[in-house]
Amino acid sequence: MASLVVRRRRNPIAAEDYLAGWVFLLPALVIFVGFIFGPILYSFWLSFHDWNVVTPEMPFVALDNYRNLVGNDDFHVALRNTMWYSAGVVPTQTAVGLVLAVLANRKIRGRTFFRTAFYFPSISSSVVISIIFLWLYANNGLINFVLRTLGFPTPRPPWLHNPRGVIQMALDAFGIHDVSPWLAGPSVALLSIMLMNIWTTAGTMMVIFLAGLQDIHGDVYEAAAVDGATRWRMFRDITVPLLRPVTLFVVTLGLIGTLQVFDQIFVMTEGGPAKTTMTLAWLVYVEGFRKFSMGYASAIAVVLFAITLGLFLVHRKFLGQSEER
Amino acid sequence: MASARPVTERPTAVRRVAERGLDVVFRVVAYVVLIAVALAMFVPFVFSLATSLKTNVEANRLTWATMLWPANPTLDAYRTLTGTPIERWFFNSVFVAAIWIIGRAMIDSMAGYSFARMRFPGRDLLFLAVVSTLMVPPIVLIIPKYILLKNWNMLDSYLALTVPFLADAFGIFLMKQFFKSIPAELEDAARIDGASRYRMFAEIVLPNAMPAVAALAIFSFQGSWSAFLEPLIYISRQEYFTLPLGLAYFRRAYYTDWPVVMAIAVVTTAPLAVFFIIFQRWFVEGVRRSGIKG
Amino acid sequence: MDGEDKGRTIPRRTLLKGAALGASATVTTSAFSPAVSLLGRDAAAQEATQVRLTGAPSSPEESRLLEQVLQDFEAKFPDITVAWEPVTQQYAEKLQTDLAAGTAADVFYVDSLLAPDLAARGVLLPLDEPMADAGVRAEDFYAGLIKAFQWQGKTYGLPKDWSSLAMVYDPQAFDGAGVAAPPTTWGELRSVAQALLDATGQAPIILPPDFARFIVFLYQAGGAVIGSDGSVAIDSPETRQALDYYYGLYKDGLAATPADVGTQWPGDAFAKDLGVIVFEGNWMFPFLAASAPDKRFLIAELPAGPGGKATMGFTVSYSINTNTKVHDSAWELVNYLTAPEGMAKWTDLGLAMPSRPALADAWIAKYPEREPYLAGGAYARPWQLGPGGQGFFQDANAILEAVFAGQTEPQDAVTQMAEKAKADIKIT
Repeated sequence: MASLVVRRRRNPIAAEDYLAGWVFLLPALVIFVGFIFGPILYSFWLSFHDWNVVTPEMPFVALDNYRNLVGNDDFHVALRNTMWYSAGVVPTQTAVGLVLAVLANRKIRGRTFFRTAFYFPSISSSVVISIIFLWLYANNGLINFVLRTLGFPTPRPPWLHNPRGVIQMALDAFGIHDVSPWLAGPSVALLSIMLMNIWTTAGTMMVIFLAGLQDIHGDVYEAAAVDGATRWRMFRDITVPLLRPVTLFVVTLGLIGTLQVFDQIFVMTEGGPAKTTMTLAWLVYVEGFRKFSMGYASAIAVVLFAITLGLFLVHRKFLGQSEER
Repeated sequence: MASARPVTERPTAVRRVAERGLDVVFRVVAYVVLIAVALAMFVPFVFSLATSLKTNVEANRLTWATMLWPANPTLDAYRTLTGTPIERWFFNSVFVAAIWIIGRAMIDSMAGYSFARMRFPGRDLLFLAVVSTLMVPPIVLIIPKYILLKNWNMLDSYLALTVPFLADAFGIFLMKQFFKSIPAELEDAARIDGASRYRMFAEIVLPNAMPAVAALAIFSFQGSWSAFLEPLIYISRQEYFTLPLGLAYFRRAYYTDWPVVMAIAVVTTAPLAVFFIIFQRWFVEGVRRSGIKG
Repeated sequence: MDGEDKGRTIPRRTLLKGAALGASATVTTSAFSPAVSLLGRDAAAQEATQVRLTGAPSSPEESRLLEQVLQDFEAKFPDITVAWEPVTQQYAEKLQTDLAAGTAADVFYVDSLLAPDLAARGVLLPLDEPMADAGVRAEDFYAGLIKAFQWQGKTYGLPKDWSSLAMVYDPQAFDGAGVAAPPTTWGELRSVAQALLDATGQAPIILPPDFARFIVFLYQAGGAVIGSDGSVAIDSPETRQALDYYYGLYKDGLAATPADVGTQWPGDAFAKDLGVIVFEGNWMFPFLAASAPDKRFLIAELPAGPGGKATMGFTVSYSINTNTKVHDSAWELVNYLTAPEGMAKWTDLGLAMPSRPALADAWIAKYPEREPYLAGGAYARPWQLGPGGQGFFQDANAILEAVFAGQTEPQDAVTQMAEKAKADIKIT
């Protein structure tokens, strides 16, 4: 904060600042209170009630909604799918983003071109990308076409219609069948959406990592090079630790994004096949806007929020430690 | 300083040559990988464009030759589009985007300025609260927001597409970081001349904040153009659809006609693509300026 | 150090001008753009009674034809105007939220699957009185259809039209495989399909893992979802037999799913020559006419199962909102649209069949090849699963998808379906 020149007229200015501070903040505050803070509280409140939208009665049911959640099959399925989704996408898109950034950070020609190309998918509408990939993943679409021409088998049912767990499929090859659903892995359909997600966001992560890399002064590397450190050593001992805050940011972004994935499900699979692409966010939508159990849907939303917050705090603890230089 | 572990041996000449060789290999590998990935990023879009220029029959029978460009390009799919409400949807998207940009430019910069420069009790706590809302998944809020908009009779209108979005945490964060990064001398000087905060903001601060406002405008445009979940919930009348809603509707209505579906995808993406190519420097700059280290 | 550097900063006047320009541009464009209302619904000036009608037309043609019929109605009843508000997406959801908000239309479509839910919630106006006054009898409609809209002894809607399922097949492919006549039993269906498979190497039947199709086979085997005593009766040997047969077709390569051949629904596959036999309704024909006008096809009644013949009666009613303020005018509209005159005009498009047996002959005269659909009227079951049926339908679909992917055994699937039915369907 800029230090004001100390003058005798300080008090009126401070007073004006006080008022002006709030005035400037007012429009944003109104919108935030009305459309964010308010709804957060309302969501909590609604989760303790039962409301089907059609009738005005809203009986208080305390923890019933949460109790139903715990026993509900659909909730377990959605939880499972969401966990697989995040666990698969976040590390991958972080790693891919980092690798791409490292590669693109050298003095290579066409850096702007690469940056533009990689970043483009992430600015496109998620609906557009979902539609395009619907076509790519179709049985007579591009992906199967390429696979078949190269002699590879294609999944039957085709990608987005295939509910078999990928880990289960791998285990089948070893003769291990019928593992518990929790270990069967994401379905082929869910995996298809995950791959699409990584394709979309790797570019953003790359751009963020690039910015972080560029903030590291070249002298650090030069000094290490003088000492004879290898490239790999430099990467491991200089780059990675210095990138910790950036990595934290990227992982946070990834967590928030993957835990909320909705648009793609709506356009591509609507929770199917066999509910294997039903995520928590999708379940909230279905329970709230198709089955009209608003209280129950709010409870699921609250749980989702809690998971997001929890994961953020946990990984922040692990990654956010080395703030000291 | 970084903790580079000191290496005890001195590099030999052989080692240096090996390093240089490795350097070249690394460079080649880097290029190959980058080009491959760049291609992977482009191919789906090119493929969708190509499909939109094909006939239905050709689109369904892929060959290596016609994979990325049709044998006989035709605008049939686009002609089919003109019979649909797509012009209205396009207008809606543009209109809504304009409101988002103007609204956020004003509201976010005012709020950012307030957080950056002015002192008042609860300022830092409030800022933290604002920024932490970034963590709240939108799906968590749609039910209450839906009820709110319904009670105020704002559903199925432009109000539902704009009012809840006129302030956003990321934009406020961006503007605050920017304001903090510019020195306060100009303002102090104006202060000495007796200007009020309001005049200072309008005449000095905002004009000098154009780069950040530009980045904000770009993010707002992209956000509004692609918004899907909330418009889906708040709008059910076709005349208020934005392009993503229209596209999702088409996926059901024209599901067998890939060229038409791809055509509307192209129409939805083209403005953003053009915009992005022109302003791509600002996009990336905006990400950088958002102060990721914070 | 101080003062404005005109090169760098923008003078205040220009800023204000810019803002004003921007604002006025926005306002002007919105003023000139097609009938834009900032606040949503336009308030229409009206002198006569206005009845609001909403529904989900399956195509723009359907919507336009309905408008023509509505114009005839307005000519006949000059003091009533009808505001037609078609909904193209998520109709059932929008209807329910509008009912909750109190902003729903006066008259609206109700799908037979949703009807029990709405009737049970008391949002539909019972029509027995106006029907009696106007001389409209429930017996004038096909029993299976009007029953779908009756709840606890009262009638809550009149079926506006209906569609059934029949077997649509490609006669050229049949000739090519030496098949003389379409199959009439399950056994014949298998042998015909086998002959076609041997001749073409391509799975002839297109079978979606969709409960709305499987349920026909369930009925044909003599099973039921809800038994005559009102309890869930889906877990039965008949259901198992039906699922074994249904999935058996797929497992033995006699059938493929629409997704397997790269299409979204069986009609699409049929039009693209990717399937020879499909089980679809009247909605298929406008689609065929548009996408494959030269394709020859024939229609036959669905093959009978061990329990006899069965087909589905997909129907939609015109129902009246309990909270409507224009009872009488709303009834006039419903009556007109479902009376012989109005219904005939409507069903002449061929999209759906008249729900009044009296109009059957005229319809068959116009569409003789569709006779198998209408014949199904004698044994059609309502497409209805009780209150909560929609939820069960989604769950059953998920189970069927798992069966088709080889993940769940048919025997287990039936047990699962029974569990879901007990949980979802609220028998009262």
